[in-house]
Amino acid sequence: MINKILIAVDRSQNSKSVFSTAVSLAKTTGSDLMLLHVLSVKEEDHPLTPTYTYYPIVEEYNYETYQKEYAKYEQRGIEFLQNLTQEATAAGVKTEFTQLSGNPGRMICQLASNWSADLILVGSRGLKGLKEMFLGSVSNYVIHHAPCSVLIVRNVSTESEPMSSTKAVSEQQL
Amino acid sequence: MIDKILVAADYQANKLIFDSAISLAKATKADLMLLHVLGEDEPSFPIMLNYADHPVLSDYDYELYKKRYEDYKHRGIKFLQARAKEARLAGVNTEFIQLTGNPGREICQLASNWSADLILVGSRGLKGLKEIFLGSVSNYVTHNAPCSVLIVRNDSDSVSYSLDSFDQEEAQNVPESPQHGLMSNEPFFGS
Repeated sequence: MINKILIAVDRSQNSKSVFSTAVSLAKTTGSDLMLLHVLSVKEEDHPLTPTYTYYPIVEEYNYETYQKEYAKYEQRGIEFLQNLTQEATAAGVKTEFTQLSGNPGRMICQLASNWSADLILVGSRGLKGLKEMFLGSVSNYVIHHAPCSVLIVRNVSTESEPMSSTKAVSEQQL
Repeated sequence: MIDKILVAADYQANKLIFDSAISLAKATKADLMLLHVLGEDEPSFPIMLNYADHPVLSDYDYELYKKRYEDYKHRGIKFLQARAKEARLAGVNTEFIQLTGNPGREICQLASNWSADLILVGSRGLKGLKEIFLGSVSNYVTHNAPCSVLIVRNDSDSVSYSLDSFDQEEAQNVPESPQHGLMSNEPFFGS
């Protein structure tokens, strides 16, 4: 039923649980995995052009430094993906990886339709309210624009467990 | 990893939801819980007959409404029973439950009470203004769920359980269906 799983990862902690879920799902359903990492300005270690803050002239030296930093940043992404791919392949799942640059939500949906994925796995940063409005929710974009099914993986152990348990307790009291 | 899967569905739900729920549950050896929420947003929800005419609630109309509501509830249970039977035939441990209220809220509440690991919901595929006015259940669920959420979508084949075919199915399965002399599909004007 599910033959191709696209998983969008970044270097956050939450992404690890997304990855492990994807591997176990792919193993049980016998499907192919595609790892996607999107290079975007919103990522924490995306390099900035050094002159932006001082004056609007881009010096050659600064530009070269920026390019070097950017190449390093790209390289880090590739290495990260290679590590994950090795891990997944070791678990017996056929895995490929892609690195793109651009708006994460849009890139995820585009790749999903080009690669004709059956399922997209994304993590949830768990932003709520104003934070979500300003920082933008990638998962929300993906849910609304994806061409296929979407699985939002939420890290249960860290944030939601105490909430649900208190709810259960209050209901027992009622 | 995934031990308990909650499936939320209505009559309009894509058949794909159940198929993917069953195949997922089989693959991960998880328990299934089917949930149907009775709500006023559903097209087949019975409407009080004399709301439009005059505000007096006659006994007869009220009885009729109660009957139709019972019918409506009964139909939901039948629907769930049929799906649960399918799942059990596929070898999946299945329960079902029917609740009343706001669908999104009921789904999230049940998920946290039952401690589900995964919620499966369909997407009605509403966009723009329609989404704003009719409300997106899947959107509410993804933002408020205590666990992972799988939005099942397939635009290419939208095979849905239409009410009519379900009625026929029901009529075949249950020879002694209660006759109230009032089908919820046809318009009825009070005496």
